[in-house]
Amino acid sequence: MDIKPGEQTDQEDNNNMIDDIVEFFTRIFKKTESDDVGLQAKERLKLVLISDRATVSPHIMQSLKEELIEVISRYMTIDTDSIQMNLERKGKAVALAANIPVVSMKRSNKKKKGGNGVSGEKKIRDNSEVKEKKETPDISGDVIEKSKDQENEKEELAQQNSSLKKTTPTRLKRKPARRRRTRPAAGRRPSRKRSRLRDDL
Amino acid sequence: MGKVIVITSGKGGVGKTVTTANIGASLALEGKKVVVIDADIGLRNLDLVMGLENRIVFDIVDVIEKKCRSYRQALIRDKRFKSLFLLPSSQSREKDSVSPNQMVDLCDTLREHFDFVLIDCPAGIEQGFKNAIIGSDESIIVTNPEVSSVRDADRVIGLLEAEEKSEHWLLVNRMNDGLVKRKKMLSVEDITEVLGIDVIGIVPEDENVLFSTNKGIPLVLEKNSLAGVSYRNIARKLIDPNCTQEIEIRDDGFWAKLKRLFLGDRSFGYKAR
Ligand SMILES: Nc1ncnc2c1ncn2[C@@H]1O[C@H](COP(=O)(O)OP(=O)(O)O)[C@@H](O)[C@H]1O
Ligand SMILES: [Mg+2]
Repeated sequence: MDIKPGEQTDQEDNNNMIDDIVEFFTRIFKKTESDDVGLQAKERLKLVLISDRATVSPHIMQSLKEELIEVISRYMTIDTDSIQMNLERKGKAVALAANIPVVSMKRSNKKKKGGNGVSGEKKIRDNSEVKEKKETPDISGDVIEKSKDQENEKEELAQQNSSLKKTTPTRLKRKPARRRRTRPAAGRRPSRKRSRLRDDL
Repeated sequence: MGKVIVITSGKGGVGKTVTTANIGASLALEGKKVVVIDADIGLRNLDLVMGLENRIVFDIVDVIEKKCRSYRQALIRDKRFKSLFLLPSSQSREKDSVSPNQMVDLCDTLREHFDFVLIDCPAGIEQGFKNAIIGSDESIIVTNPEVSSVRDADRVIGLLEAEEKSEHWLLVNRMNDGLVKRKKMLSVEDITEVLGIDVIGIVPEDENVLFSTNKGIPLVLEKNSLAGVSYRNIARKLIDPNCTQEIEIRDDGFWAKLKRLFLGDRSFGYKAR
């Protein structure tokens, strides 16, 4: 068979037709995410509650800040007065953006609990900034951007990263609850057992 | 010593008053001595929903200002139940006629004489809300499967926890499982995931709620009301959190049978949990 460039074979024609049919049917039958109004409602609620809880309880952001300062100060001297920390809305996600000016880096030859000693003893540029960002496209994704590249710093920041994970949950907690009385665990959780009602209907 | 439970929500119109009346009545049916308090001062409502509006002589402000001999004089006994009492709100007074301390004293007095003291909280998060929650031991937060009432519920949970009131439950009212199945509505699982608190019960959307409030007859006395049955089961869980013995109903009317035949369970749009 002679095929001129740009012309289709019967085989290709068939393939295209099948693709079209498949697409047609998937378009009709496949529920897209935008059809799931319940899911949309839940996702929108989750986002709005992050900023609600943060603005309603400045206490949370304050204690987060204090704990962050505590952790970071173990590794570097930071300018605690000019720290900026905000929840930023970025389309469909909320990010915790922190801008923490670094005054100097500590000489980290001491042994850290849990980890083996970091050997780096280089003098580090002053007044550089470490910028941390916690993107929250989903529950697990967190990214830390680093503006420096020394090997040992990477290591330290990795440790810092793990600390940050603990202090900055994506789903912002309410003001830490001080439970007055605690009941036995079994008693607190109302049983979600399906009743016989429905099965009998 | 009884328990003081406040029924609150933040948002208005989600079913606090209906919930207070029906949980109160259900607890009385279980043999508990119950008083329901209308804490919505200036907007009296609970009396009307319960069908007791014609019997009010004294109200909560009279009790607090000692205009009557004792709280007993202001209580209205619901004759359809053995042990259900209403302390009505004042229609003519302002919200600040009552101070938080006076409310705490009132709760402490009533706690001594009743198994359950239920407080119908006004909407909003201002003084009326603060008065209603201050004397409580536990709270039931009523929400609808709808974004704005869930958001308000979260705010209220935050405020309760700030007051160190951490014993709380969620009650999801006006649930429509048919809509959830069609992915048009928040499910109970969605709501608990977002709010992170335990659910005491789910009350379905039920037109009997409207009928019974129109008549002034408590829903729990109506046969075959799905919402009524849910409230009765919630009351049982309040008495015993581990209670698994749930009341069931089976609608054996002609239409129900026919629906069941052709549509199966879905026709009811409600799954009891
Ligand atoms: N489960 C339900 N099904 C149908 N209608 C309901 C239900 N619960 C409440 N309603 C209706 O919602 C309206 C508001 O209820 P109400 O108890 O007065 O709310 P609130 O006290 O929170 O302002 C009333 O008209 C009531 O009949
Ligand atoms: Mg009301």
